[in-house]
Amino acid sequence: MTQSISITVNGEALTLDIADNWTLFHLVKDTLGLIGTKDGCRQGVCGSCTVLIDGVPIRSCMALAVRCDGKSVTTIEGLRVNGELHPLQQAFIDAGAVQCGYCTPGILLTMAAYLEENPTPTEDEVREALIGNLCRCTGYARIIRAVMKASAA
Amino acid sequence: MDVKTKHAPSFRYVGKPIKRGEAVDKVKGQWVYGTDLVLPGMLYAKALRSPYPHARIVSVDVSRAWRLAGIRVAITGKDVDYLFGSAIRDEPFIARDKVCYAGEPVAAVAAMSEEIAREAIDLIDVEYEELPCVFDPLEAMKDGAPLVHEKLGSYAAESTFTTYPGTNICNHTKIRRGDVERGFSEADEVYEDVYTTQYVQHCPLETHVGIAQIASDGAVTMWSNSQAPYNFVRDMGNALDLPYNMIRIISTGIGGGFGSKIYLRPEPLAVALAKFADGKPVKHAFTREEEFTSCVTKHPTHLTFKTGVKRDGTLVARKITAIFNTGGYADTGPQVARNGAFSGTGPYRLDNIWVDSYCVYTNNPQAGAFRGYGVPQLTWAHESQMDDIAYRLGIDPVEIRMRNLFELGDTTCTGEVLRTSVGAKETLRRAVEVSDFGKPLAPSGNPKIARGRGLATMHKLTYTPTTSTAIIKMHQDGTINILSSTLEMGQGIYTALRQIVAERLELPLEHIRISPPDTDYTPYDQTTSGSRSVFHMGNALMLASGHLIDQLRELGCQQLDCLIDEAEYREGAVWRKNTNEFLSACDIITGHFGPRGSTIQGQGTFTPPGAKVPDKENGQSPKVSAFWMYATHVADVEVDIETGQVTVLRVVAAHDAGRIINPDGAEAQIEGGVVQGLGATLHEEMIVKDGIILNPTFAEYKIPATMDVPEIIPVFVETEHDEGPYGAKGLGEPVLAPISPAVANAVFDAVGVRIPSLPITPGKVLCALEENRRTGGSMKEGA
Repeated sequence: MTQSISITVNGEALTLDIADNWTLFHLVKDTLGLIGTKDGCRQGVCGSCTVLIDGVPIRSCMALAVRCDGKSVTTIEGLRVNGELHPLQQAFIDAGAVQCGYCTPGILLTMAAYLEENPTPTEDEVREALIGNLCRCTGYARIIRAVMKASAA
Repeated sequence: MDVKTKHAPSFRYVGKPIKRGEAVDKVKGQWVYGTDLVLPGMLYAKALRSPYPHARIVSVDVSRAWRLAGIRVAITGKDVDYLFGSAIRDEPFIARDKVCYAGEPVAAVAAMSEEIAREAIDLIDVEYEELPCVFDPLEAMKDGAPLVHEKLGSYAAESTFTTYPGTNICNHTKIRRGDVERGFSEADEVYEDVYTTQYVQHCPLETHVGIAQIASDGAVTMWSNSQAPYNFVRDMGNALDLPYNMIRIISTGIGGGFGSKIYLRPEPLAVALAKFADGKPVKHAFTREEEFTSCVTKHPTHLTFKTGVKRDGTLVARKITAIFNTGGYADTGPQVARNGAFSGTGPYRLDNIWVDSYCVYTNNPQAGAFRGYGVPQLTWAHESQMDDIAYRLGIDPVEIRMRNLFELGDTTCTGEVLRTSVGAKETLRRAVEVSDFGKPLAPSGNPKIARGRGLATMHKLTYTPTTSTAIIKMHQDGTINILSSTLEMGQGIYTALRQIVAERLELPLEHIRISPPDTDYTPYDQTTSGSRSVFHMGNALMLASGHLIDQLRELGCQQLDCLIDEAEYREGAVWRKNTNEFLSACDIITGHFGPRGSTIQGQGTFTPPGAKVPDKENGQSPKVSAFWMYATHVADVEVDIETGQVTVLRVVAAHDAGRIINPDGAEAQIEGGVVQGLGATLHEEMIVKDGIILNPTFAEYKIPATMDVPEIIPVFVETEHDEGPYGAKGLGEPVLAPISPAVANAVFDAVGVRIPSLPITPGKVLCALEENRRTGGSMKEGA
């Protein structure tokens, strides 16, 4: 079964015919070609596929695309503002918070939403806010440092 | 003095914290990984996997799968008669007669979508007849145990292994040095202890992906997130009996490897399907569950250490029996078990040594390369026992190590005399100093929380001999492309290699780019693993740079009308010595080749000089490793006496990695490695019952998250290596090894119990505490 939905993706309003069993992950990655969204487990555990729906971080592998009708989706490709890196993106580069980079888009989006809510968090608050995003390379120290740096900026 | 610190020259790039270049693409979501790749006409593969760990395949029927719309290929083991394997060619692309582990493919499909492929495998009918199984490697070594491979002995195998056909032993590594029995008789005390390690999964965030396409002439192209494309050329070429120039590996971005992506895993099935796909590319991406069931894991080990010591703590003799449970197929297990053995007696002087390391087939999941390649397991044992011995003799853990640690001129268990860069003692000194090891820890303030501090020292070899080759291509405008097959998988190697070349060629770092590996174009590199890349590829690039400079000088002196000896290379130009006359690289290339120019290629091949595979009978070799890395970790822990929970408060990690090329990247390697090691120390374990993995998901198999991370203090001891590029050695792998015993030793310090088996779970700690109470053991007072 297909269904027509209206959805805004990274600021662009789209009307799409999609199958009703598609996940949001399938829609953004396979159909719209936004490859910055990564799949690490397809079970909603690792956080790699995180995107924002109306500014709220969501595991796109667990979200049905048809449920996003009328909503606004932001992927990593939409995090830049007017082509400029988001302060978090710059902080991740500067702090050496990126290794293999596979978890990075999901973490950046999770933290971008979090800093909107809490612009000046403590380090412990950042740790807690990031508990649902797994990284196997960095040991997290530099990721937390980068978020603190971006929040202070 | 065992530490060599040369006069430090002033470097432009070496030793500087240069930010990694590819991070920009990564934060923007533009770095393309294997999972991201979609090719024109691509089909999606899916395997049907055996639910049984050991069973005869009576029949496989794929006819119902063919009825689905969108199905393009459906095959069984009967359709592809190939065996692969890096050490022993024992593994079919798809099981034919029997399965040797649960999770082995028995049939496969390729379809127009992932969804159709998933649906199709549910329509395949398989009849199995269960066979007697063997899961415990100690049982598997006994006479009369069920055989996992009746055909062992008939498989093609590397001649450096000792296999015993008619048994489950697929490699036996022997080290014989001195007279171990006489050593024991001369010792004041002899202790025998057993230590064990568990199943750990690599868990790269990106799963394994192989895409295969076969041309009309049979040439195979694979897109892969592999750490070692040239391994794939050789192993796939051998499996298909194809000339190596008909195998091409195009590397994609890699979302973490940790050793799991060194050898063929999803690729054979992709190739098998591609043979029937009429030229279409076939993508086989592992699911997260397949990463657990059908990939490779860290080897669980059973380690018996018998050690003779003098009363003052001097080590006299050591006998080790190490048993590596390698599962249903060998993969690289024989190499891992051998490599572990070579480090097994620790970084300590010992005259009398006897090591037997066995790699044993069972009907369990396959084990293979894991960051550290067998060394973390042996380190777990020698460093746990070191503290056990120190405690029994009443000697301080630092003192007993200082008494025995290697210095320049000492000989390893493999008979190699250490002639350069032995920083073992210095890592211990520095770790002790930075951690204030000698001073008591502040009490927790809670009588139920005991605090303790422990340390562990280790050494690690790198797989040797291996070769790296590189081409440095200079364009007419003087800018550089590095052609190498070393892979960036998060460890920061692209940045380090660019720093080395920029330093050597005295060029701006921005002028040096690395071309992505593609085996049709980039020359041989054995593998990106074993902490070998900075040393081996760094040296190949030094040689290639020298070759490029020689050519520029040669062409430059003709144009400057001077002798070659008068032509001097500096900063991308050739100067006539002691004059102000010079020609830029651009001038030289244009002058020689005309206005349209050309490129100039410098090439370099590096194999460590004097390296030799050890003798099969005694494990002796003049050089078993291109270089040795050393480290000492100190862990401060808290133990909850009521719950058994161990919390690590702080880790000081002192490493001798030779000269550090990029301190920023090196510190990041330590931070990440310590945390990965802590996962394996405290909680990570694949629970395997009767060959079946009970926790094959991220929800049930927990890797460390943000709340699990202690303070980590990296320390570098830069003992330069005579043969390393600018004195560098390697770093990534050793980080994982000392952390586990350091934590175990800290737990002992805190509550007086020895946990000899990884991981150190609350349950084990509680049981040990209870046992101590019952037997009136040596439990210390809670802090």
